[in-house]
Amino acid sequence: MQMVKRGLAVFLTIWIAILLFMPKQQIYFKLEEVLGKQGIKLNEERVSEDLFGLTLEGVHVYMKGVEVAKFKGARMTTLLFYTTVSVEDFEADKSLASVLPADVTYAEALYALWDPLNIRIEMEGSFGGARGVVSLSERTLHVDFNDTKGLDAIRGALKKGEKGWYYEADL
Amino acid sequence: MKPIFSPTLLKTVSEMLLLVLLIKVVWFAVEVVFLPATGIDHIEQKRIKPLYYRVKLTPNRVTMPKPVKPSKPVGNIKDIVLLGIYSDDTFTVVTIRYKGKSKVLGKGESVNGFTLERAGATYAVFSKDGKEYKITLKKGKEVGDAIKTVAKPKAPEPKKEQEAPEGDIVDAGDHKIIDRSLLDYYGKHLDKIYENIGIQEIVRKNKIEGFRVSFVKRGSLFSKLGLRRGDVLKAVNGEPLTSYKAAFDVYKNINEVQNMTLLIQRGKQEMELEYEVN
Repeated sequence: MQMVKRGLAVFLTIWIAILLFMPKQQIYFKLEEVLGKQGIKLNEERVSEDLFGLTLEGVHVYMKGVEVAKFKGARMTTLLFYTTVSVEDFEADKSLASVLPADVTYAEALYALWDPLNIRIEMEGSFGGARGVVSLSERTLHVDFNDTKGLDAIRGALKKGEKGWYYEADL
Repeated sequence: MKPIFSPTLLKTVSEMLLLVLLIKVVWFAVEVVFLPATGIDHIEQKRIKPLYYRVKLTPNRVTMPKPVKPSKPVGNIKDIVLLGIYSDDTFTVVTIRYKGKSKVLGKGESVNGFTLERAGATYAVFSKDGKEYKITLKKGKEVGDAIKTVAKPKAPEPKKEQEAPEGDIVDAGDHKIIDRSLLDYYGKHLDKIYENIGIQEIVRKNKIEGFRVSFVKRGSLFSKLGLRRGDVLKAVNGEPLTSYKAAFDVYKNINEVQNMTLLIQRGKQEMELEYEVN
């Protein structure tokens, strides 16, 4: 019993220490560096970190020097075995309305150790709700749209399936 | 003397603290060796935009010539054969045969230029150019089986949103006239542009030198712009196209443009294409 207690204490200490001392802001900067090589840059007004994650405020997204979108805030949370990235009030540039959903009020991507080959996505916006998955093994993105209303602007980029409209792309 | 803390507890706590310290050192090492200290921000390249002038020497703006529709040959009422009639107080529908095909016409609908006005028990009245024409119902072998079935007119299908733009691009000699509705349409449908024209950046020494036209769909409106495959777009209204932002700014502000001068390189020759938006 003593051994179990000791083992548990060691595990908790390591887990908390890893989360506590994790240089979250620098990891985010590394992510920016990786995205920068793809021509994507994020300009944020404020970055703040806490025990379990990182919060961004007032983010502008640039692709190859062109501002394509902005969002009010984003939150990255990690428990090491369970990581989420959520985006609030995403607004794409109006000129891209035929390609991107113009307004996404909330979007969340989830990665969990028990589903290591997939990243789950959920979105809500002017198009209704949508759920999707990024398959890391097949390098594909598939998003199913729950609602048929409000899809007119982006319908050209969607396909019609048995369950309704969906978006599919190779990554 | 009994110690205040048990030696085992002290040892355990020390080990834990050592472990925490070790993790801190590892993270510090990772931070120093692998992680950047600052992020990458996009810096807006601001510079004074040169004023763009286009001097127009002609006194009046050239107006968009309206496309002349080819006049249709005058139809003959004898080409229409009345096969069946359904008529009541509120509803009139007839079946006719025109050019070998049977058609169902509702009141107000036209065929061969003749509009159905009303119908009686054995006749239908059509109008054209203010004149009325009466056709009587054919019977028996003259019409075969067609008289037996009189279908109700189909409910009008809901009109789809106008997809294709209605305007045109007209060659006016030294310049081309673009209908503004085209700019409005393509300003909202970026994806439709790429269906008709392919544009690729030309990068030399990490700098964009222009955008090459990789294809132009034959017969499309973009082919009327005078662009050809292989042309390099160098500048629009004096603004060099040396970044994606410059190109995208042109696209975003295209609705406000009155005149446009496109500097292109065709082969080794540079030339200007002039456009007027009307």
